[in-house]
Amino acid sequence: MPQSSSHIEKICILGGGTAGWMTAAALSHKLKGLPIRIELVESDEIGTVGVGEATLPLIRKFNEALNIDEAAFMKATEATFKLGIEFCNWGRIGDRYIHPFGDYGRPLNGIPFYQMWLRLRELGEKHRLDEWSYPVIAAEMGRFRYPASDYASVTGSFGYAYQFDASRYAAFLRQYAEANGVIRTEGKVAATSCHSETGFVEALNLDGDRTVTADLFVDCSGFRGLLIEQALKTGYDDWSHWLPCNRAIAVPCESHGELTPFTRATARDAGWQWRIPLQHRVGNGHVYCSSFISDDEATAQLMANLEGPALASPKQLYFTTGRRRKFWNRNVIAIGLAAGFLEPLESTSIHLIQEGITELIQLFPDKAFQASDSDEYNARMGLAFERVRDFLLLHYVANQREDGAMWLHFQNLTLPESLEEKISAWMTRGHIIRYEFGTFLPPSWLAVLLGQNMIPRGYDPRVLAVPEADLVAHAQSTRESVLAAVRDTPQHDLFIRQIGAGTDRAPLVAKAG
Amino acid sequence: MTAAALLRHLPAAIEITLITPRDYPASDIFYGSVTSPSAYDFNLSIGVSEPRLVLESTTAFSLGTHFQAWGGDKLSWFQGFQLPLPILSGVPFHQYLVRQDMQALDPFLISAAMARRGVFAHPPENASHPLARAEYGYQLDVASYRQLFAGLTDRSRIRTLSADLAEVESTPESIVTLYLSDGQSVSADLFIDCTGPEATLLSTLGARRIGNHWLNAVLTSKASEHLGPAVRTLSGRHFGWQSATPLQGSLAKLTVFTEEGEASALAEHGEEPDVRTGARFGRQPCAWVGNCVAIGQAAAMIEPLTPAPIMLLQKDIDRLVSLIPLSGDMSMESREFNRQFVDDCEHAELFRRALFATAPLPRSSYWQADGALGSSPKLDRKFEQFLSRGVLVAYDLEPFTPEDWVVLHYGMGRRPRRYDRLADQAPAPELKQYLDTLRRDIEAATYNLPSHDSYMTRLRQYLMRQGA
Repeated sequence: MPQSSSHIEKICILGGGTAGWMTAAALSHKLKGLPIRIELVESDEIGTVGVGEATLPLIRKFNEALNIDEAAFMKATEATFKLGIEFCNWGRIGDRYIHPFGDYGRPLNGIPFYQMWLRLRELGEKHRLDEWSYPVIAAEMGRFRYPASDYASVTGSFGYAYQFDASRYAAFLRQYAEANGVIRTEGKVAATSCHSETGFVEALNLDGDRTVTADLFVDCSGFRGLLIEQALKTGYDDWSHWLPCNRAIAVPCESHGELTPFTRATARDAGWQWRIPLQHRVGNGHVYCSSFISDDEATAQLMANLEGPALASPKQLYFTTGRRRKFWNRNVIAIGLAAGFLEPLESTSIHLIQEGITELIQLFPDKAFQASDSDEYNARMGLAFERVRDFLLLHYVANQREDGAMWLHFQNLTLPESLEEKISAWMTRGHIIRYEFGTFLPPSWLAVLLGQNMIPRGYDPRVLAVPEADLVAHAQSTRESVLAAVRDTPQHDLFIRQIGAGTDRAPLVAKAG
Repeated sequence: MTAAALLRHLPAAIEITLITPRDYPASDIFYGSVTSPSAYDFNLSIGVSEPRLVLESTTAFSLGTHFQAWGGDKLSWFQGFQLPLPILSGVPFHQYLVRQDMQALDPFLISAAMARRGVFAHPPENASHPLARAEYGYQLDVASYRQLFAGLTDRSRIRTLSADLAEVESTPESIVTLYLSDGQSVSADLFIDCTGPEATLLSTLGARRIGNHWLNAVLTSKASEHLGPAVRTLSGRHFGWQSATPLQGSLAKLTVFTEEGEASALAEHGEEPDVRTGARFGRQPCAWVGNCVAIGQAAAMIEPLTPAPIMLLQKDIDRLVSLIPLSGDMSMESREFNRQFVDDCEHAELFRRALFATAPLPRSSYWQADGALGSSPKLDRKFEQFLSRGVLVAYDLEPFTPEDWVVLHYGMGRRPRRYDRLADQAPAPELKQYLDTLRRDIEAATYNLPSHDSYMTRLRQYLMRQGA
């Protein structure tokens, strides 16, 4: 058992973006009552990226664990509810599907519903599988409600997340963290002092001859990885050969039309475009590969596809997809973009920050910084990144697009063996190779594969043991339940106002000229 | 069990032929005499309800296994089934025990408390009641269990041939025809090998088991008027181990030993064996080769120290049912089956090997055998994390739960060197009071429970009245 002198007494978080303030808020809450000081260093001069404004359902656990009031948080961040992501043009140009946060239909005799749908399709069923998904139909009809407590009911088998202004979320969490005793220091890091023998980071030397010392440093400094890379030279695994998109342009625009409870990702010639509806504006961005399109063309494509006038000048971002060789090196733990980058096609950026924080709390070190702690952290985070990577890659390779250099590149790509096997099992008989630990479970794989027209050649023969009439009746009753439940569901914007989460501000409009 | 599962799940268009030998392999006793709680759902999925199980077989309930005199230090602990332990403020329960320097986990395990008193009752639906945290499996006699499943096979849908296998006609890649001792022959698209450790069908396709550990066993079933506790006792011996499993109407005594310890094993067994056998333990590199799938002992032999043999058998069957091939090209199905099979075996084996990670170990061939296996990075990681800071490392879809592992670690005397610092947030007096109250509540919850025997008698009477 460590003596009290071996306990961490001071934590320094470098960077005040989404990752920095999420970390500060979580640590200040979870470590409350312990003699640990937390200082966050950020520079007003350095802009934050404001990664991914769309999230995954587990963000609710994060907020709940911090006892954050949902309505207050939504109001402060201009948040909307999210039931899934709409993917346009991914299978073929003109296609669309929604990847929902939830499963499809109800199993029968232990057989997943989609297997029965494959059989019914063979018998002439014309309805999309989507019709058996409450979150898909509710999203398409612009409606939202909280999931019911009865998991077996059609309204109980889905989850939800939020679409929010990440800068406002960081500001909201800053207030929360500062109220919990986190000290914010404004300053730019001029140099980093490391121990001459151990290489451990000892202090940040800030401009104006100020020094910040700590036992544990959390590097949330973004792509540059000021501590994890520039100071500790940890190294980076470049995954560009699998996911070659390396640039993005982001721009907000006026909100026109109804408030959709879903994010949209539209495939383009050399990448894809996001649309994230918030209460007061719409976030847009174009993620692309510079080998296949110029920056100017990419910007032009984005600007030509906004639903309303732009509210700001487009902002250019550069990145290399991949991960830091070690997320935890010596006494530095990298969280957020400092840890790695995976394009936000499935809204995983904030989720991976959350995973990083959760694992840090579980494996919280003492001053001895035992290798077993960092090894375990690195193993867990490595698996999380790798499994998200494979799922993202699935979108690019499981499709019928051959209409440009980028799509042809993917058609000829050698895939990671695990992904190759997953696609083969799916195409043979609709079998989904599952794992227990990872962000995306079988219903997510199903949504993307079927949504991108990857129709299996066969299906589970157990379906044939169910009498056809039972199959039809089961399918019909479930589908009717979904439709009836959606009809009883309020409109998304109305629901936001009903729960007191509506912002008082009017939607933003572009300045004239 | 495989036949019952296939009949239950597959369409009538698929013809099934079951070839039953005149004598079942004696090696069946290596399935052991306990199941994990997963048997309830598995049995139900193939049409065997619990009432049927207790009325139509000698099966009894199981709260777990009481290990005694285990290893060189004669360790003793109750390896009970348990629902997840409480997580307080995001911190796993056992971290608070480390903080309080409390050495024993048992007082906080409802199944252990029930086992100590020899009582049993089904967990109530009220989730806040201490008894609701109890989990249970079954204590069984393999022959009686098998007979029950055999009774499920709808004779109109299955062609049953009672004969021995005389010859297997095969190509290097697949099996073509089986010739039986009565002159009949059977051809099929898919052959399922349930022939036990011999793996008679799979071996014709060149399969060779990995592992070279030979164990012998003798089993004696002794009639017993009263049903003993819902606990299997398993005692370490120089030659291996002995277990005693109370069943309805009998007490099953199993002695497992290496060849070197045979004389003392048989002397200690004392009774005239009903069954005597030996087998080589290990697994097939691939349980599905060509058009032949090995199930149960034909695929893997794992020592019945834990419920692993029946767990793996259930997993084999579930895996097969979900991957029945669609055509003669079974390459995808076999790859996926084998991937899961290897994972399941490896993960079950981690738990078995953890039982031998204690020092000192008796200097007999039985106890020293594991030393030759080399290190397992997966097991090392589990140990390192638990010993370092009480973290339970889990791999995808492991057969044993985190609770099984924490009970095992505590039982074998492994204690974390550090605890989660977040556990320091709970004020010491309140934490002490919480733990004292929990311990008292668990103990008190068992006071008025009936003995396993009395519970079973009343349950049977109730079920028979319902049936009538």
